[in-house]
Amino acid sequence: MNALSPDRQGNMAGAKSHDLKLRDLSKKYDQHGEEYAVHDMNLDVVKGEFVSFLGPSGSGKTTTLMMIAGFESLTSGDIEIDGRSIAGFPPEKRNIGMVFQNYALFPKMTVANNIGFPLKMRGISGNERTQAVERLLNLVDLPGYGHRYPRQLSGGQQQRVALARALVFGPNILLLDEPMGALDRKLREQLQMELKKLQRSLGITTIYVTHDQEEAMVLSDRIVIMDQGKVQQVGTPSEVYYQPANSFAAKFLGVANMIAGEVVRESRAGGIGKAAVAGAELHFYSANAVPKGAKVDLFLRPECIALDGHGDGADKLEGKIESAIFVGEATRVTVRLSDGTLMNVTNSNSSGFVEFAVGNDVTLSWDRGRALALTG
Amino acid sequence: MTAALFYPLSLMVWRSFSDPELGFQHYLRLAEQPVYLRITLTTLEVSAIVTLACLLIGYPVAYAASNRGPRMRLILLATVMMPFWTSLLVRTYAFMVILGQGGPFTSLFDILAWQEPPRLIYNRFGAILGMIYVMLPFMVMTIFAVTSEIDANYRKAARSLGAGPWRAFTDVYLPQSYPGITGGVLLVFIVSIGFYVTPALLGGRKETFIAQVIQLNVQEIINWGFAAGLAVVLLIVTMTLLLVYDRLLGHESVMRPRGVGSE
Repeated sequence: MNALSPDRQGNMAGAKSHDLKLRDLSKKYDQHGEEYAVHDMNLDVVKGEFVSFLGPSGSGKTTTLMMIAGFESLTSGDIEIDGRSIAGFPPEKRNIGMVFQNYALFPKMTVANNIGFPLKMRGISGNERTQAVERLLNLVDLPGYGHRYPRQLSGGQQQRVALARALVFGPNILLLDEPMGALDRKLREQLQMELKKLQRSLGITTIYVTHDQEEAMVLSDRIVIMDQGKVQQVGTPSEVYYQPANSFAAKFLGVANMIAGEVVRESRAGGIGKAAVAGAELHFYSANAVPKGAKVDLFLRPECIALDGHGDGADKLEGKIESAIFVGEATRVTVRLSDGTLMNVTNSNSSGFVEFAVGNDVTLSWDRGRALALTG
Repeated sequence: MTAALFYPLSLMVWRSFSDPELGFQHYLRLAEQPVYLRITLTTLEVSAIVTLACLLIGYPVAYAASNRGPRMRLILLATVMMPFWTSLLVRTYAFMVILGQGGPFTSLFDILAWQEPPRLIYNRFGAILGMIYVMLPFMVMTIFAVTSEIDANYRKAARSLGAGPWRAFTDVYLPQSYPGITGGVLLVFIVSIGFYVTPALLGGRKETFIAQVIQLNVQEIINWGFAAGLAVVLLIVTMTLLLVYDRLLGHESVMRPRGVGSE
C-alpha cells in the first residue's frame, strides 16, 4: 500500500481511489454465545463512493466501522481493499483515515501538530510536513489556525481539523463515525455540504456512520440500513426511500404509512397484485412473489397520497380527518381509516393553500401500483 | 481558613527566632554542625528514591486500572487501597516481622543455604521499602484520577493515524497523563520528607529523617526553638524544590490552573 505517494506529490485531488469489500463479515463478542453484533455482512463499496451505515444504536454500524479500522477483531469473514485482505493488519498499518465521534483531537498538541501527526509517524519532517499541513488547513478552510490548540476552536472548526488530520497522509479510504453528532442543526447542514464537496473533489472512498436518516440521504451515494447486526437494505437514497426492502427500512427512513392486509390476487416477483385492506381491495406492487392469502403490509409515503383526488384507476380509501398542520410548503394531514389505521398525508401547497377541516370525511387516493407490499 | 493555617505557622517561625532568646542561634547551630546538613540530604535523597519508585510502580498500576476493564480496575484499586484501612503503625510492625530475623524472607534464605541472609531492615533498604509501601496508594490514586478520564478514542485516533502502540502511548497518552504524574510526585515527595514512624522503625541509624530530630527536640530535649528552626528549614527546602519543579514542568503545574498560560 503505497499510500504516501499522492501526498508527496502534493496532489491530493488526484489521489487514486480504492474499493472496499466486506465478505461475510461477522462479529460475536461472546465466542460461545449466539448473539451477533454483526452477522454475515456483505458489501462492495466502489472507488470514490460515499456509503453511509444507517441504523439505530446497537445495529452494528459502529462495530462494522471499528472492524474496518482495525479496532475490533473479526469473528469470521474478511475485509479487502483493492482485493487484498487487511483483516490481519493492526490499525496503524491499514492506512485508513478516521474521524472519530467528538473528533479525538490531541489536546496537548496545536492544530498544526495534530494535522502533522500522521506525517510524523511516517517519518516525514521539516518543510515537507509544514507544507502538507498548510495545504490541508487551506483545504478545510482554516488557514492560519495552525498555532491554536483544539480547545480554542469551535465544534465545527474542530471537526474540520479532524477531517484534515484524517486526510493529510493520503489514506486509502476515509471512515467517519457520527462526526456531526455534537453540532447544531444549521452548522451541520453547512458542514454536510462542505464534506460532500470535499469528498467528491478528492474522490476518496468514504464510509459514514450515522443514525440520522436525513444526513445519510444528503451525503450518500448509497445507504446501508442496518438493524440488529444485519444489513436490512443497500441502495441509493431514493431506492431505500421509495422501495424499502422491509418494514424496518420503511419505518426507519422518513414517515411511512403501513396498512395491514391480506392478498386476494397473487403477484409474481416485480408484479402487481391485489389485497383486501380496510374494507377495500387495493392494488400493490411487490418486488417478491406473494401467494394468495399471504399477510402483507401496504406501504405508502405521505406525499404519494392525494386527498379528495381524482384520476381513473386510482386506488381509494375513505377516512376522517383527525388533524391538519400547515407547515409552509405543505399541509400535514392525518386521516383515520374505517379500520382504525392512522394515515399520514402530506398535501403539497404547490398550487395554493387548501383548508382541511378536522372531522370531515375525505378520500385518499394514489396511482395504481404506488402501494408497495412488504412481507418482512 | 487561611488565618487558621497561617497562625500556627507564623508562631513556629517566630519561635525559631525567639525561644529561648531572640536571635539566630538555632540557625547558626544548624549551619555549623554538618550532621544537620547530612540529615537533610538523607531525608531528601530517600524521599526522592521513594517517589521515583512509587512512580515507576504506580504508573503501570494506574494505567492498567484505567484501561483494562472494570474487573481489573476493581481488583487493582481494592488491592492498592486495602492497606489504607489498616493503621500505619500496624503495617510498619508487620514489615518488621516479615523482613526481620526469623521472618519468611530470611528463613527462605536459610533453606536455600545461600550464605548469610542479607539484612532487609534497619538499613536504607528497609526504610525505602517501608515508605514505598505506605506511599504507593497516594501515587496510584493521584495518577488514576487523571488517566481514568482519558478517552480511549485518543489512542485509537493515534493508531489510525499511523502510530504503533508504543508511539500512541508516548506521544498521545503520556502527555495527557502528566498532570497526574506531577500531582502524584509532589504529593509523595512532600509527604515523604515529613516521614517519621517508618524510617524510625525500619531504617538504621544512618537513615535519620528531619522529622525524627524535630520529635527528639520537642519531646525529649525540650528545645522547642531549635525544633521550630528545623521545621522552618524543612519548609524552606520543600518550597524551594516545589518552585524548581514548577519551573521545570512549566504549564503542567499544580500551582497554576490547568490550561492557563500555555497559549
